[in-house]
Amino acid sequence: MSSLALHGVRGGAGTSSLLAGLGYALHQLGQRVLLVDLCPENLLRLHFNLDLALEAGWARADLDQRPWHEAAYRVLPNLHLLPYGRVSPGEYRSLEQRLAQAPERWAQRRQNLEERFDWVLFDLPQRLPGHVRPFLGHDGCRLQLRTVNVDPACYALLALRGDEPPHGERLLVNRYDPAHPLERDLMQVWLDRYEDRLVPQAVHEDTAMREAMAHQMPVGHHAPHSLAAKELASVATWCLAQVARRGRGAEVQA
Amino acid sequence: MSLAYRSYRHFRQQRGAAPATALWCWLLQGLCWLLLPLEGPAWRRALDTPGGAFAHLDGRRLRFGDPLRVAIQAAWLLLVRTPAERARPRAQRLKAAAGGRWRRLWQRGRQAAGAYAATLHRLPARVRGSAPWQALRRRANGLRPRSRRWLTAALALLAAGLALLCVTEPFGYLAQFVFVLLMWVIAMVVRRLPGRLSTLVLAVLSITVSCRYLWWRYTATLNWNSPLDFACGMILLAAETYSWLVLMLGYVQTIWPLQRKPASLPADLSRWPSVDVLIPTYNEDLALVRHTVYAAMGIDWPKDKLRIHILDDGRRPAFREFAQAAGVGYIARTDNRHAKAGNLNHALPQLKGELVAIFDSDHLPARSFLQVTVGWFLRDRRLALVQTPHHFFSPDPFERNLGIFRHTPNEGELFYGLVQDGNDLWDAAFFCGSCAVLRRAAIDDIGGFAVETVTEDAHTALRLHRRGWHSAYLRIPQAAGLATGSLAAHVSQRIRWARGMAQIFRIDNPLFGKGLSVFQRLCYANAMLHFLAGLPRLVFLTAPLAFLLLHVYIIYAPALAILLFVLPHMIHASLANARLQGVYRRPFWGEVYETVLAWYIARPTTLALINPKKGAFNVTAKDEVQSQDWFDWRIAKPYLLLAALNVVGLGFAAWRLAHGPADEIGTLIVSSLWVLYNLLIIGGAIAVAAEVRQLRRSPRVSARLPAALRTADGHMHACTLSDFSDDSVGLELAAALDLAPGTAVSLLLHRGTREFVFEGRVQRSLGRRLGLRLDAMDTRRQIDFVQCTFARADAWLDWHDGFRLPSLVSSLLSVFALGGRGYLRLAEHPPAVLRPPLRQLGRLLRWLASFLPRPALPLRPAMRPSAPGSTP
Amino acid sequence: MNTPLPIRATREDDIANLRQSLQLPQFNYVDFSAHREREEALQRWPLLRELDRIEAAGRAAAAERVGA
Repeated sequence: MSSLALHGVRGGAGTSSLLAGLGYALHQLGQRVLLVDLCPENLLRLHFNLDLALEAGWARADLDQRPWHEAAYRVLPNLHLLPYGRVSPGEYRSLEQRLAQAPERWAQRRQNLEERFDWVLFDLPQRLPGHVRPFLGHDGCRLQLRTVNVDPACYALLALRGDEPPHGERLLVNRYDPAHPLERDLMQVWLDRYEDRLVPQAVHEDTAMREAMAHQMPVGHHAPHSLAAKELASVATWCLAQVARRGRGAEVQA
Repeated sequence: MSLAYRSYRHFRQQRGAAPATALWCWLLQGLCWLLLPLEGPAWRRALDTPGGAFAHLDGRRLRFGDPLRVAIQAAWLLLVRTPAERARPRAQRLKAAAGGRWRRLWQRGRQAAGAYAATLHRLPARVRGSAPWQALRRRANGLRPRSRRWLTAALALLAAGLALLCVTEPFGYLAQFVFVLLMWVIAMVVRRLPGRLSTLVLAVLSITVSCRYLWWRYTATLNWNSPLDFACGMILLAAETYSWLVLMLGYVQTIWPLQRKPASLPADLSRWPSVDVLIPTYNEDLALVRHTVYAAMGIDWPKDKLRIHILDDGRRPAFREFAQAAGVGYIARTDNRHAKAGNLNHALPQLKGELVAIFDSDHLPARSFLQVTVGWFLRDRRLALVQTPHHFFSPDPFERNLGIFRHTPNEGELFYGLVQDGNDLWDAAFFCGSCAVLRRAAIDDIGGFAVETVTEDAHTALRLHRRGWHSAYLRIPQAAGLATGSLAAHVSQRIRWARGMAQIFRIDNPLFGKGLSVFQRLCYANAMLHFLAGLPRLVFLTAPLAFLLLHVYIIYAPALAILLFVLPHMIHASLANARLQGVYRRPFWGEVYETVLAWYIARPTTLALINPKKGAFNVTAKDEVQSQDWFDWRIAKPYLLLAALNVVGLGFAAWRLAHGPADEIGTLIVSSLWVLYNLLIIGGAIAVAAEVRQLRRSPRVSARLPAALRTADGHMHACTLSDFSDDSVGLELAAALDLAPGTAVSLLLHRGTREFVFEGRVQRSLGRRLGLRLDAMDTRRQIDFVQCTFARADAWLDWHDGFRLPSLVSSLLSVFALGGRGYLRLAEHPPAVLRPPLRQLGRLLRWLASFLPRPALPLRPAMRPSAPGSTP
Repeated sequence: MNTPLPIRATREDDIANLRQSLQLPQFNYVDFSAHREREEALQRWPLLRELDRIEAAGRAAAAERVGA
C-alpha cells in the first residue's frame, strides 16, 4: 500500500537502526511490513538476528542472475526483511552502474512489493545515486524521510545543499539530546526554520537503541519501555495518519 | 481452625495462653468432644469453612473469654447464615434473591425510562425541525416590528395576569395539592429537556411557586393576636424574605452565563499594549513570592512591553535583593495606609504601562495569561477590566477536611464558574483583587483603587461601572494559587469579604447613585446581599426551637398547609438551581458552606451596616500547615451550641409528643423534621472543623504530562509526570526501575514544542512510581521548571473533568452523611476532660464487641501472597 | 502495545491544548520565550548564524519564485 524511504543526511546518522525500529513499530500497529536494505554495508539484517554468515540478498541475487525476491526472510509473521547480500566493492559499483542505467527496475519492483505489503521501508545508502533515485523525488516513495542528527554538520549539509529540498521531504530527528546546549540551541533554530518539514516527533538519544543492535533486535522488541521505542511507535502512528490524510486528499481531488 | 485435639502444652506454648486459661480451654475442649458430635458433617462444614471461621481468634494470644467467643461464633455460623453466602458480592446476592420475573420487570422499566429520556432529549430539535413550527416562525418573522411589539406586550400582560393569579389565589388543601402536583409534573418533564429554554421554564416554575409561598406566608400565617408569636413569626418571615430575594436575584444573575471567549491579538506587535504586572505582598514568604515572580517572568509578551513589580508592604531587604537579582521592579512605601489598595495606589504613579495586571503573591500566572486576556481591551476601548477565575491547586479547608478535593466543586466554584459569567451578560462582572487586567486610564479616571472599604476590589469595579467603563469575565483558569490553609484563616478571609461588602452596601449602595443599569444594580446588590446571609441562616437554624421550647407558633398554619407550601418551594428552588448551577455547586452543599460562615459573618456584617467606618483590615494568612489532625474547638463552638440547642429541642419534641395535645402532633412532626435537618447541616459544619493533617508544606499538584527519565547509563525511560510541587516531582514509569534513593537522574519535560532537562535525585522508588527531588536550580532553570509545570497554558484547563453531575437525592444524602460524619469526628476529638472516661468506655465497648460473631473471611486466590520478585 | 499511541508531541503542546479547550483553532499565539531562545542561540554560535542566514535567503528566493 505505502512505501517509505529513509535516507540519512549524512552517513552514521543512525538510519538503519531507526528503520529497523520504525518497521517493528509499524508491525506492532498491525501492519504487514517489509524492510529493504539498499546499503551495500548490509547491516540492517543485524537488527533481526539473521545468521552473520548468510550471503543472500537482493543484490547478490541480481548479480548471480537469480530471482531477487527469494532472498527475503520472514522475521515475524507479517514482518519481512530483504537484505542487500554479501557483495564486494567492485560488484556493488557495477550494480550501481546498472541501476543508474535502468531506474525503472526498482520502480517496478517497488510497485510489486507495495501490492503485497501495507508498508515497504527502504534503507537508502550514501553516495550511490543509482541505488537511491528510484525511491526519491516525484515518483518516489509515498513518505520520504531524511534522518538528521542535531549537529552543525547536518545543518550545514541541509543548508548548503544548493538546490531546493524535494517537495514533501520530511526531516526525522534522531539522537536528540536536549541536555546538550548546542543541540538544544540548534533544535530551537530548526523548530522555527524547518517548522513545516520536521516530523513532529523527534527520537532522543537513548542507549537502548545501540544495545538493541547488540542484542540483534529492533529497539521496540529489546526495550519496549524505552523512550526511543515509544517515540518510534509515535512516529509510526504519524506515518499512518500521514498516509490516511493524503489518501483522503487524493479522493477529494479526484 | 481445624478439628484436632490440642494439648495443654499446645495452648501454653503455641497460643501463649496463661496457665489458668490454658487449663480451662483444655477442659472445655474435652467437654466438647464428649458432648458434641464434632465429627458429623454439619459441624465439619461449619468449622472447616475456607479462610477459617475463627479467623478473628487466630494469630493472637488465647484469652480467657475465648471459649465463649468460639461458642458464640459457632452458634452464629450454624444458625444464621453460611459464610459462603456472605462472601458473595452483594449485587450477586440481590440478583439471586430477586426472582427472574422481578428482574425482567426491572429491566423493562429501565429500558422504558431510557427510551423516555432519549425521546425528551431529542424533542427540542424535532420540534424546531417540524413543519408547523417552521410555519409559525415564518409568520412571526413576517410581522412588522410594530405589531410584533404589540404582540409581545399582549403576551407579557397575559403572563403577568396569570402569574398574579397563580401567586395570590387562595386554595383549599386539595386545590393547592393539585396545583403543586401539576407544577412538579411539569418540572419533572422539563428538566429532562436539553437547552436553555427548559432552564428558563424551571426558573419560572420556581419563581411562581416561591412567590406564592411568600404571599401565603405574608397573608395567611401571621398570628397578630399574640405579641410573642407575632415577633418570632416576623423574624422568621424577614429571614425568609431575604432568602426569597437572594433566590430571585440569583436567577437574574445566573440565568444566562455569557461564556465569553478570548479575543485574538493583532499580528502587528506594535499594537499590543504595554503591561505592568503587579505582585503586591505584605507578609508572605519569599519562597512563595519567588515562584509567582518566576511565573510572571515567563508570561509570553513582548519583552519591551512587560514590566514586573513586587509591591512590598513589608519593606523586607530580602525581597529587594531578590527583585534586583531577578531583574524585576521593587516598590515599597513608608507606611501601610489602606493596605493592598493603598499599596497599589502608591505604585501607580511610578508605572507607565497602558494595562495593569494584578496577581496576589501566591497566584502563579500561566504563560498565556496576557495573550488570552488582553485581546478584549483592543476590541473595546471602554473596557476597564478583564477578570479570570481564582483557581486553587491546593485544597481549601472544606476540601481537605471533608476529603472532597477535585471531585466535588469547592465553595468558590459557583462564583467563578457561574455567577461572574452570569454577571458578564449584564456588564457587571467585578474585580476580585487578583488574576485580572485593568486599564490604567480607567483607574486614573476614578482616582485610583477605592480605599474606603476592606474589599477594595469590588468597590473599585463598582466605581468603574458608575463611570461608564465596561468589564469582562473570561472563565478560563489562567492563574492558580494556594487556597487558605486552615479553617480559621478561611473564616477570617470570608469575614473580611463580608464586612467589606456590607461597608460598600452602606457607603456606596449600588441600588442608588448614578451611572449603573438596572441589572448592574441588581447584580451588585445580590453580591452584597449574599454576604448578609449570616443572621437569616442563624434564624433558620433556631426557628423550630421557638415552637418546641417556647411553644411559639412562628408559622401560624396547620402542619399540612405548611408542608403543601414549603416543600414545593424548596423542591422547585433545588430543581432550578441544580439545573442552573450544574457542575459548579453540588445541590445542598451550599447550606453547609453557608452554615459554617453564618455565625462569624453575622456580627461583622451587622456592625458594618451600622457603622461602616469601623473594622480593621486583616490579611489572610494562607500558608499555614496543619501538622497533625486536630479539632478546631474555637471555630466549632457556636455550632456545638446550636447542635446542643437542637438536641434539647428534640427532647422537648418527644416530651410534647407524649404529653401535649393531640392536635399539635402534625406541627410537632414538621418541627422535629426541621430540627433533624438542621442538626445534620450543623453536623456538616462541625465536620469541617476537624482539621486534617497536611503532609507537605508545598502542595503537590496532580497532573498527567508526558515526560522522560534519563539514568546515568544513558538509558531514557518514557514516563508520565503524575504530580509536581516547587522542587520535586512524582513519575509513573511504564515498567519498574530499580533505582536506589539518592541516585542522580535527569528529567526531561516538555512545554510547547520545546524540551527542558532538569537534574535531580531519586527520593523514593516504589514499583513503577518514582519520586524525584530536583537539584538546586539557578533563576533560569527555576523559570523553566515553573513554565513546564505550574505556568503551562493548559495546566488548569481540565481541572473540572473529575466533577460529575450528581442527582438531587444523592446530593442530599451526601450532605446528610456529612452531617453524621461531623458528629463522629466530634467523638474522635473529645475535649481533654472527657478523654479518660471516654477511653475507658471505648475499651469496654471494644471488649464487648469482641464477643460478637463475625463473618468468616473468604479465602480468594487473589489474597494469596504472590511470589516475591516475579513481575509479569 | 498494540493500540496506536497518540503522537506524543501533540499532547505536550500546551498552546495546542489551550486552543482545543477554547474551541478556537485559529487563536493567535506568539511564543515569545521560544523566539528569545532562538535569538540567543544564533548569537552564541557563529556557524549557526551563518547557516541560518543562507537558509533564510533560500526561503525568500523560493517564495519569490512561487510569487512570480
